[in-house]
Amino acid sequence: MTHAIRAQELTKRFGKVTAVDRCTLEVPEGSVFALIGSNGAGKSTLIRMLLNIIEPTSGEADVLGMNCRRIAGDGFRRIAYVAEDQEQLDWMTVGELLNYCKPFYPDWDDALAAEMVRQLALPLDRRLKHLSRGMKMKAVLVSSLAYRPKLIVLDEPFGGLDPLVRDEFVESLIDRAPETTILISSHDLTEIETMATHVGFMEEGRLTFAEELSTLAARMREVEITFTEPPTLPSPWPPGWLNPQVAGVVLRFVETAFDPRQSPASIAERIPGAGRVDFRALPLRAMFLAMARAARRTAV
Amino acid sequence: MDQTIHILIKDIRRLRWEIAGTLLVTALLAWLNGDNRLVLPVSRREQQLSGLSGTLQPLCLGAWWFLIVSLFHVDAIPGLRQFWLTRPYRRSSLLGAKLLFIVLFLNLPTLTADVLVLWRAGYPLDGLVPALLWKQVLYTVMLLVPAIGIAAVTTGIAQTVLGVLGLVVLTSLLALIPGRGHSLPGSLGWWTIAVQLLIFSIGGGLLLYWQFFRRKTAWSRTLIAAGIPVFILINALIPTGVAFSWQRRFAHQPGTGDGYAIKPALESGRMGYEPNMRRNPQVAQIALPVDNVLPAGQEMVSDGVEASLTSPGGAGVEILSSVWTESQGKPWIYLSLDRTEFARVRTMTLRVDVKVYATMFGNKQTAAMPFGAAHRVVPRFGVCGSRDRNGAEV
Repeated sequence: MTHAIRAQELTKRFGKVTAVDRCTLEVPEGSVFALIGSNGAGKSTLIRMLLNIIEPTSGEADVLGMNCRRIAGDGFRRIAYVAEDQEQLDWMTVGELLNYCKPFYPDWDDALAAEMVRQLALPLDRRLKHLSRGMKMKAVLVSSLAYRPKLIVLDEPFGGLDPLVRDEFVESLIDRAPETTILISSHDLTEIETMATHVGFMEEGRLTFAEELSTLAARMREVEITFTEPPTLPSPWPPGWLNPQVAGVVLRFVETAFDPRQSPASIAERIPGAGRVDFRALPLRAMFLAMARAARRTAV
Repeated sequence: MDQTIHILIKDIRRLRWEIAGTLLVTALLAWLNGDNRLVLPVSRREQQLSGLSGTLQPLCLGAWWFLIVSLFHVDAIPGLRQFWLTRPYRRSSLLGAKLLFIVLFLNLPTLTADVLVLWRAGYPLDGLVPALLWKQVLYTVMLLVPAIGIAAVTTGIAQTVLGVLGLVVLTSLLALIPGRGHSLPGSLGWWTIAVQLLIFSIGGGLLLYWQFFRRKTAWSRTLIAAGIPVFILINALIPTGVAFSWQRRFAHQPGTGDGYAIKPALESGRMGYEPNMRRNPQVAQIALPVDNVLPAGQEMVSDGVEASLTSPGGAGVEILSSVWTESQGKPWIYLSLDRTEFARVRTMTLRVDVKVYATMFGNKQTAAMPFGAAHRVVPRFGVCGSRDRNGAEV
């Protein structure tokens, strides 16, 4: 399998603060890789290093075969970058923005741009500064997708967008998905879940794990055990069982290495007196919350 | 080049009102400077226009700086969120577009303004082209490069104003340094400007390279902070002897050979004393007449004098200052001493060692310029005429 992005021990320090700590990451070509994590986890810094917006303190990364420290100029002909806080040419109309961007990209597809403008109902004669936030993001998206980039990098693209615009945004991205690789960092886990094939979790500058979403979904389960009387928790508590919560005679936790053949036996062995045991699949949001809370507790 | 032009056109569209404002101020100033009547204003209207011309000069400089800052901030270099950062902008094209913009809307208009002013004043332009181009070099390096430097390391007007204020504070602090006021004398003074020009050229080039090709804003800001003291203190940092040795190395001495030197000889027995009572009664001056024989067709300008007085016992006598001056049709070297010190040594036989730095000017090329009319206006300078106010030939 080839990789659109391959990072090795990528690190960024700002003075004494380590924003990204020895991050090793592989984003397979054609995947939709979701980077999730709390605010300040280092997602944006990692993305900025990958695109040579900031220089890594140490480590290496290749993006579409280019050393990340050398990506500039023509290197961006195959990369699209859309970020929530990115400055735009606000004084231009949508039409002017598209006309301005076009000469920079040899693969610019007028028909595709026109089709997306129609689909997203963009007013070509309106200045970006006079557009709503959602419309502006759509205009930026068109200017970033019309040249059929090989890699689309999205840093918190859904912030402040209403559900309808979000939907249109995601649809436009999914349309491109077969021909491109998408790296997306977002808090909007519901939207991400509909499109992501891979997910990476960052906490305090570290990439805790990165794997296929299907694998992650298969190994993460919420476990609910009902006892006949208030339970006593085993000590030491297994590190792969996150966020144990006791409510009366019910114990809940998140199992991070669920195996339908071994997990029930393992629970029975470690928690004597367990009555009924239910395993429930988790949505991405619940998985994220469980891992974030566990990471925070560990940090504390 | 296509991309350079593409970015340039975008910048022109974005800054069209700023360009129009700058051109208007520049044109107005040129029009006023080219009006011969305003050199010696007589009527109330002429005086008002002359005053307006004086007001417009700083305004014009402000407009040029504002245009440059606005230009660079359209695609600011520092920061993480700029549009251009993640688009296929070639750095050389981006820089090229900015520089081309400056040539088009600052250099060309000011050059055109200069040409029009001289043309309106009746000057033949043939021989002035090199001077006009050289003026553009000076204008660019001394007036525009500082603005470019500040604009390239900031992202907005507020940051720029803060940066300029910081530089003003730094400059004010540097002014307090003792000896900062020392300057190279007379015809060596241009070395200060030459070195400053060199500092701005090299510093400006380095800064643009770091910013546009490496995006090293911290380095560039450090360069500015370190460069300003050097720029300001350069007067005090270049010793007269060093500047003179540079001057001698670069001096053009047609027909005289490298070994040519003028050797002023002090006449013995005619030393004078002037108690300089009027200016400063505490200072006494020793006037040393100089028997100076200049080659025909040449003139001498003193660049500086270094003198020492030694008493018979070998002790030095403190000299406050030493200058070369022309008086009573001949050159003199004036040594200033504290009056008390002078009283102490006045009866002694003193040894005088003098080193004179001087530049020789040949008068080989003389340009004749017919007056035609009774007078000629020299733009922004005054009126030059062959007759005095009473009409007498001069």
